[in-house]
Amino acid sequence: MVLCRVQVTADSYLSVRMQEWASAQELLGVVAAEMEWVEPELVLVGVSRWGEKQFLQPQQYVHSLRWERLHVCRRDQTEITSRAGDSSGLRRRGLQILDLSAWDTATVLTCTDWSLFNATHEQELICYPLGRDVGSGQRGALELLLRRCNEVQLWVATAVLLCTSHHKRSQLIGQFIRIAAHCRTQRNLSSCFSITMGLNAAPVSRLSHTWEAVPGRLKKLLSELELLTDPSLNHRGYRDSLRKMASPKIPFIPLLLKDVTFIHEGNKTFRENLVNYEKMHMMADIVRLVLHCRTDHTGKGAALPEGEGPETRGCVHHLHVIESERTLFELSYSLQPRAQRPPVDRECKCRPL
Amino acid sequence: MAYAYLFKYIIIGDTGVGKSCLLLQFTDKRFQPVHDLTIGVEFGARMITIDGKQIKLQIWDTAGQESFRSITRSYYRGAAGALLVYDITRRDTFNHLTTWLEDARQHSNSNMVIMLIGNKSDLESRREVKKEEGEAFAREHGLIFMETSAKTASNVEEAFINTAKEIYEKIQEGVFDINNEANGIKIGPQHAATSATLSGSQGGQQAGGGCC
Repeated sequence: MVLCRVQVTADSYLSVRMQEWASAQELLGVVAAEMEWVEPELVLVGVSRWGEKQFLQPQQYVHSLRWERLHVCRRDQTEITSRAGDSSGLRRRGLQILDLSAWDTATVLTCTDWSLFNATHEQELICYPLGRDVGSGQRGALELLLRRCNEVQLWVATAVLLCTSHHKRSQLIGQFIRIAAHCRTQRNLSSCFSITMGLNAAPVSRLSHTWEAVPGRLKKLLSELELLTDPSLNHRGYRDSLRKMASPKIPFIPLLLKDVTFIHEGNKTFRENLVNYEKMHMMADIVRLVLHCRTDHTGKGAALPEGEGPETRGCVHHLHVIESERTLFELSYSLQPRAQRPPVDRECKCRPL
Repeated sequence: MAYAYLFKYIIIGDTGVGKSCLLLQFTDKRFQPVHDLTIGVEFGARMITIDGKQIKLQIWDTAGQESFRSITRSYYRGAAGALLVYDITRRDTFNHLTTWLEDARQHSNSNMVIMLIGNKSDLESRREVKKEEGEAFAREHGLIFMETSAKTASNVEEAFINTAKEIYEKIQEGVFDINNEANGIKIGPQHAATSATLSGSQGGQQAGGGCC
């Protein structure tokens, strides 16, 4: 399974879950259906890392990592660009999350996370922070997994900020809190962490009027989940939870990478021409942790929870994401204008205490 | 060890600019290797003296998480100072400063002291960013500026200590609400009693809300 980023408005994209061998035509079909576009004349344009553009032929394979980005446009090259905030379809799409069961939504997220986590080789986790290539094909899985962590966070923020109804927005926040809690129950610390971070993102957390309407018990639940994302004492909250949790479980990968980076940069590989085995053991511990997370005490891998009913498809399978922090803030200010700050009087800094 | 104040720092900047090396250079000399992953150990720490007072610097390194801005953002919340680092031999790391700065300003408290650091000054022959450019950027954005070399240790002490001095001055001026830990400053045990009297005059202020 791969995730393809397809730009659907000038400021947002759909992260489409596809089979690795999906063709441009299949991908277009999914995007058009998701966006409820009826135009027959759509084409995909691939933009490489270096800005080169290429029209994709219908039968051409879509290699998600080959393109920095994929755009959808009309055959005559006119773009169907508008801003996500102007699209009533996209606003509605975010609201669909309210119609689904929080448990089922968590299950879909967890299934995707598992398949990405399982596809990632331990060696990649060690080589990535060291800036070394593992060899062809192997690096892709980790990149997808990392991208996924960011996408889940942005998906939460996007859905909340695109919702213009005050009442529904509070409900949506509540729903995301439930989904995050269910992810934790499903031992998916990755999505649990990401959703909590998404709710804590400044454009969302500043919406004080919206938060006032979120029920107290859900806010209490969120504050429990926030212990996971609190970075104090080198992310003690998260590390404790991960350690206590039975396997199989999905760790939050960015923190694993941070640890590898610190082990690598904080310790010399050689000392007086001798290999620093202590460092190697620390690296090995990380690999063991990953392997341990993947299997239960009998050595079996994760049994994926069932229940990807058709009703959970769409908005949870293919996450809609606004990436630009600036756009997210603009949406946030349109929902709740900035409080007028009193002008900062430089001189008052020097007032006597 | 007893300290009068504890300042929390965060080091930010692109991958490979030498953030961890700066931290190691600054802390390694007197302390145990800081990159201990044991649960409960804070990242890097060192004691310095300013104005005859012991100040503990606690430094949060963001190495390895450059593409996860949200983790970095969670570090801003409790930081009094930030070292924004670029590599003088890589123009792109200089070009990205605006994004980093915007992010820092957006997510930190408004009084956070930011020091701009052009690292790898030992690699003069490969220099791509002139010192004057760094100075101009700093002037334009109201930052303190220094070029350092984590390799030769040149200016590393000064970078951390000058930032601390600036924070200390702000405390003296009453800009920081030192009783609000979200500002990244903690008062040491022997100081706690005297500071309680200060809190009254600053009451009602919110973190990041400016000074009046």
